[in-house]
Amino acid sequence: MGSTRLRQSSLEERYRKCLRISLTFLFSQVGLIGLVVAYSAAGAVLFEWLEADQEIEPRRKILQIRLDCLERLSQLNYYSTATSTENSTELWAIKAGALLKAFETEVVKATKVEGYDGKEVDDAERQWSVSGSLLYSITVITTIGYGNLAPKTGPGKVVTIIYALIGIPLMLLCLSNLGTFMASSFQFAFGKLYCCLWCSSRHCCCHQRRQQRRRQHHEQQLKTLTQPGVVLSTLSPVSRATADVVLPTTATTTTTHIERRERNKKMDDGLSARDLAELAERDYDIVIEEDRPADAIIRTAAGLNYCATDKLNDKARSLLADCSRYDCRANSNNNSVAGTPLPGHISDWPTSDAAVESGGQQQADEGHLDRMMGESPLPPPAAAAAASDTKLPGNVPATSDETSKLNATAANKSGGGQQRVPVSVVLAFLVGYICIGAAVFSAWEEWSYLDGAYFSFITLSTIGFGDLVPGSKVLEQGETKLVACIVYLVVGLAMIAMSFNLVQEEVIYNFQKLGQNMGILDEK
Amino acid sequence: MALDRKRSVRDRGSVRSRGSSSASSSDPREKLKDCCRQFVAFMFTQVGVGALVVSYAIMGAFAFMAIEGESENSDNNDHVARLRSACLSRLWNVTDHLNVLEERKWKLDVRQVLLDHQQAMALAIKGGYDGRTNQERWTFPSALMFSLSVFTMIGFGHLVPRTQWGKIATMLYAVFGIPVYVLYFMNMGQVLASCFKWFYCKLVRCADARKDKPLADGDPAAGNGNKEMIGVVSSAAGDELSDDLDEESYSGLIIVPSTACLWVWLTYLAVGTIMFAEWENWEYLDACYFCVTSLCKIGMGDFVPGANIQASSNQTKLIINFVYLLVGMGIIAMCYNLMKEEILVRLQELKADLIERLQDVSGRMRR
Repeated sequence: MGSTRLRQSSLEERYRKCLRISLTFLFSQVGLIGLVVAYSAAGAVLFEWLEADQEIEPRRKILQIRLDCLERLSQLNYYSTATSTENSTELWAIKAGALLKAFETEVVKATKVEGYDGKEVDDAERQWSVSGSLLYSITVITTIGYGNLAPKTGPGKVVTIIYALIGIPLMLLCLSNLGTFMASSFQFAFGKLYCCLWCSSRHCCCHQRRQQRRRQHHEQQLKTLTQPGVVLSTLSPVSRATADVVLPTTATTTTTHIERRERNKKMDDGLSARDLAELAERDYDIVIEEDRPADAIIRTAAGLNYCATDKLNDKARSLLADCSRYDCRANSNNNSVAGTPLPGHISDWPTSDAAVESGGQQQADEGHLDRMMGESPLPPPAAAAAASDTKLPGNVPATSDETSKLNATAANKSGGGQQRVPVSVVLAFLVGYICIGAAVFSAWEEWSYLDGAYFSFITLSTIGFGDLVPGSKVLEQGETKLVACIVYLVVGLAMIAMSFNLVQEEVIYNFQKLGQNMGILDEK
Repeated sequence: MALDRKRSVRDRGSVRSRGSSSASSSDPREKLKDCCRQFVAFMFTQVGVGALVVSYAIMGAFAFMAIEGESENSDNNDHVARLRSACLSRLWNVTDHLNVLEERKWKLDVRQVLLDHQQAMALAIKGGYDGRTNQERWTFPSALMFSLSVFTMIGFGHLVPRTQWGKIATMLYAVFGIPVYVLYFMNMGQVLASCFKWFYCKLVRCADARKDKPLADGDPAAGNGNKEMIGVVSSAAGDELSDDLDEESYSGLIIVPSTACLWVWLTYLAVGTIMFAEWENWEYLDACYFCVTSLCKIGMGDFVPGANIQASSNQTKLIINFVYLLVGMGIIAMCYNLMKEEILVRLQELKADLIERLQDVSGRMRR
């Protein structure tokens, strides 16, 4: 009954946590994105209202200049027919050429300085349409700043200044948030992909995770093994003699071996003697004699605790727990040292109910052990490992985190089993995005591929010259292209934020290592 | 005066680096390594980074002058010349055919010819024609401004590469230049931030000494607030802040308030506005608009000092513009440095507050 109440409250806890997380997400990610979208839309409408009207002015001016040119040409014509000399053609050509050149200079000036777009007065198309203003607003707040469209009215400039000062921090915040979020999902997806595709070698993360699960399973079983006087040693006496924590034997030693013959004997719960042998093989050999004085046992236990694996620590610990509870004398078996098979099946071994019951008694024993261990010196090789495993003694029931810690130290750079994305992958991703943009835009705008790549690169690095802008060709309609450009822009900047997030630690680490290697930086 | 100091220090720095490189060639390997190490360490200091940025810009200017300035004026100018002669021949045909008396028809035809010519011209202008040859366009000051606009990511766009190699060179220049600039930005920000903090502390101490009040009493609320913030900030790894505070042999803790940073920035903006308005004969609004869009790295390019079409290239002015922009970036970095911790703390408080309120609301809703 108590367990069901516990289960209910845990459910409610989870539900509340879920709600909290989702609300926070809403108000941090989506809310921010919505804010930026609203801000850009407001800017689009505002700038269109401010600037669209004045766009007619250069058109009118050019029309006037054209008419002037016309007038002057007709006057020239009149004069040249009036005075017809031999080389009148050349003279006419020179003078007409001069007039044309002046006309051209005016057109150039109007285009460069006043933002003339080559259209006529009665053309309905404006550069400062709503989509054009939207692109303009976005280029302002992302600091790209193309400049092919720039405000010419006084109020337009003032509004641009204020719009930029507020919008740029907003956009930066939104992009960094988005980048963090996208970085974590990218890392997750990459980890899954990596596991699926490359999960062959032993060092793969899913293999490790499977091993981890198996180990946890074994832990549960080993916890129940509390046969007093059971000693785990798979080594020959020679190697045992050279082991770190071997203690001299006495006549009443009881040792038990796990025979390799017993390896394939599977037990009901899947743990076989072979597994045990495997585990023991990989780690330090452990010999416990139960009639040794308490401090020797504790020293051994300390040595055991800092050994590489977990299971054997567990086993040893549970053994010690029992030893301190029972009387650790030699049992009646009196088996010889080597070559003795396990007494029957492991499931036949007497289990101690005290060990099965959670916590209490064992905790007290652990506490006892703790106090005793505090006075004994640790063996030297264990001292180094002691730093990372400081809470082992009191930690019998919960060893999963210890296992994961060990796994983490054994694994390559991945904390908690997640695969870190290498820099090359991120770079390749970015370059791929630029190439995609290059292909799309060069096809649409009839640019060369180099121009498309140049445009993508200049845009995504927020340099933004503005010489190449989709949808801005003088005599073409480009609303959809503008929108596509905007989408490409925003997504690309988010991806750049994501790449920064993914690689910054590694890049900084590499730079520091480089600096240290070169001897510039001290070990900070 | 800060500019002069920086420039003189830069000169000294370059001399020193030259000296070390010449000494290393005749020394055994250890000394060479040591010299290299010292040189690189020096390059990563403030002066070194500033010198690196300036030399990178100058090198880029020369490179782009070579690539773009020396390229044939190929397409555009010839194209426009051809357009003009085509237009002329059309005009001549029209004039030749029609009698001077058929004026209306002549006018209609010529108007059409002119319109066509204008539209062709507009296309050519979008393609980069502006009446100048490449050599005229790519002078040294303009190229310097171009390089600056590439690696600071401002990207004016008044001058752009038109050749293929120019575009490739621009991309490569940006890829290597932007990290250098970011390094400069962070470095400059730290240096200016510590200078400013020192200056501000001196100012506050001076003011309070004059008021003849112990500082702890002088600003109790701010002192407590500052202490709190210091506590939070140092836990959030604000090591530069704690460094400065260690140097303070001071009972109260001083944080430069954000308003002081903003004032500095506004002053710098005002100085730039006045300077550009006077020199370029712009309106004050235009100069202010230029300063803001350049310092915010937007870089529209409609106003660029000393490099517009009609101007003659004025070398000193362009160099001063260059320095103004670089120092302006540094001041932005300083403001960012000084303000980000405070902003982060406030944002966290805001977020915690928001979450708390949301929990209240959700709790109430569930009931």
